[in-house]
Amino acid sequence: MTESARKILDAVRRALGGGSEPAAADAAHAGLFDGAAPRPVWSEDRVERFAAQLQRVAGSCARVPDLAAVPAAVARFLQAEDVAPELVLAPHPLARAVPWPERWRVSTQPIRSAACAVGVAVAECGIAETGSLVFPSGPQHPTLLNLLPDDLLVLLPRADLVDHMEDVWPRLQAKGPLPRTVNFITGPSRTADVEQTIQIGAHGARRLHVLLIG
Amino acid sequence: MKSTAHRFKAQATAALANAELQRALHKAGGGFVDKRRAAVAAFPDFEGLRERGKRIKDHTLCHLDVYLARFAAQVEANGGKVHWAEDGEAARRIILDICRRARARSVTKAKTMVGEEIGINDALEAGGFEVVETDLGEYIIQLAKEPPSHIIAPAIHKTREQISALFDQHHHGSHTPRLREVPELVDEARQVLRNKFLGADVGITGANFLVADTGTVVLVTNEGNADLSLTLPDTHIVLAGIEKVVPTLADATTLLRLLARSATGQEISTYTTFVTGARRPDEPDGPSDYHVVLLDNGRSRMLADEFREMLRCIRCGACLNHCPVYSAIGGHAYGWVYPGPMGSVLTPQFVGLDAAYDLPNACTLNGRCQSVCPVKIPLPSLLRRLRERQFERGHTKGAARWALRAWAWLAQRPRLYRPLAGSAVRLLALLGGKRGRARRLPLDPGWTVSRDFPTGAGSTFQAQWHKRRKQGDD
Repeated sequence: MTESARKILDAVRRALGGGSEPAAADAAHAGLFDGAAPRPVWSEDRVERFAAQLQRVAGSCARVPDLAAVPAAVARFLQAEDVAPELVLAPHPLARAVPWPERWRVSTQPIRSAACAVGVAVAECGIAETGSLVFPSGPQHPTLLNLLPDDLLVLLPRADLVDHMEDVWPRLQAKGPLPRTVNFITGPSRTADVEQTIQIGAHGARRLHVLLIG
Repeated sequence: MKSTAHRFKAQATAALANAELQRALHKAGGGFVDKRRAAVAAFPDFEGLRERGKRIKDHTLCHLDVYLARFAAQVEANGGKVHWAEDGEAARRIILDICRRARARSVTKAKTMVGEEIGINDALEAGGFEVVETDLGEYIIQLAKEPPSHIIAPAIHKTREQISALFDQHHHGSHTPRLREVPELVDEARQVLRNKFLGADVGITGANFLVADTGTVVLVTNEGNADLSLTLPDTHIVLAGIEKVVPTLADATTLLRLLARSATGQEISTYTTFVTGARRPDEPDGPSDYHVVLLDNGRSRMLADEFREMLRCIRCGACLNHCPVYSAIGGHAYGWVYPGPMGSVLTPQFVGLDAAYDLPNACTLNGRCQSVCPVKIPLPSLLRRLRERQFERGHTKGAARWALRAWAWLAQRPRLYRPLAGSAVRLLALLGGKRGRARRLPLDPGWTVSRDFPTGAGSTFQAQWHKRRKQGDD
């Protein structure tokens, strides 16, 4: 421990009249609350809640029965937004398993530039409470793919929807130590810094479209 | 940042007379207030959530040494380096050292109020680094060479005309401004800043929460600028006050629910990011060089004294948005980094109580700030305590001191106080006439320059109380 670490921790302990011990802190923390924290409740089904929340934050969602139906749904989205079918896929088995049409330009090269139009990412899970998508960083989930493209398409199997934010952590921790980064992304990027007017498309995705599979 | 809090009165007067600022403040108006109200109403038990948030923070502060040490150990176990800074000077030195060792030229920054607190931008620029603010609001005021005027909406004082002119000047070298619509301005900033992100060597962010259990840094933005700042460069520096730590991810989740609703009326910020350490061997992106700078800068002193409760603050800005004084004068008049009610408590802790004399007094004690604070900080009581300290230490001078003394003397002598107070309220009622409002106050004409003085019921509370009791008995 460095000199300054010791000085600051000593000052904190003095301020607390002697400081605490890990066991005492943990015991006090365990007894802090009885019952779960208040959190949002809803009556509709999990999928409906997720789709409705996503729509509230200017995202969109298409439900498809299986992977084979993904290209047609993506084609509809691209056509509506007038975007060329040039996709950059996450190196994830689910994205690769989609039967992408041969005439589309589909790449799995990592992106590190501004010139990426449409990204296809795979979410670890979706959160019905907020309409959020969860992206842990890792070999199958390059973080930049969530951030750089103008259009972000997200593959999300319906079975991977969870209710609340807290439900994400046990899921991730069951797979090992926490990844370097976990992004909760809820709708396209936005800002209200010019005259408090909400404007979509600040630094991240301008459009966010989820393909809910199954 | 050099404080001009001692010039509060002159600055507030100038702000009230500044037509452009008044237009901007008027446009911003009740937006935040209405959105927060709707979000709170939609939540099943927001009061319960506030109580829980308060208790999480109180508990953490009670065991702060344990949680800080645990957080630091976890960060280092995950490949990060933790630096401890006793004051702003130490933090600046640490950050400059990291940038030099990374042989950096360009630094992108996501909004950090602690960065403002220690003046990191000036220090980096003096050290020869290019510094680019990436939050749109921060970018705008960086171009204008101004400090933020709101802790979550730093450019709230700027009109679209002013922003158009700044962009024309800095992006196009043009001095004939062309007024543009919001989408065009945002898009232009996106293009300019995208190149800055891609060319940056170091990314600096603040932290909304530090999770002790896992060594995780929690960051929220709506633009995605913190994520780009921290993912693209090879070096990421987190700068955080020591009061930001919480025990567990579940605790952070509770506080995130409070933060988004209280700040902008959202259920969650668009980008809510959990950073746990440096880039792993199998990862395609992210920084391999990861640092967390923990800053004390007076916080351990606050922990020891009667202002500990202020360390619960999660920097949502709700107290600013609900403050009539802030809404009338904006943030710059307060003269330092943190404006509004939270700033009026914090600034004296950093720049000295006598150098920020007017701040605790520029408050009507209406209590709205306390009623919307997500962690129930009793801001009016803290401001009152600061006023008491000012009196005790002799900062309160002249007529105010004399009047307070006289009133205290009188208030301790009820036999004298009662008839005198009775005459005073009768006199006031006469002054107000049928309207119940006086256009001019004889002893303080300044009070009624822009408003009338409500002159009350004509009899004291005690007199009315006795009268009612009597009527009740009959």
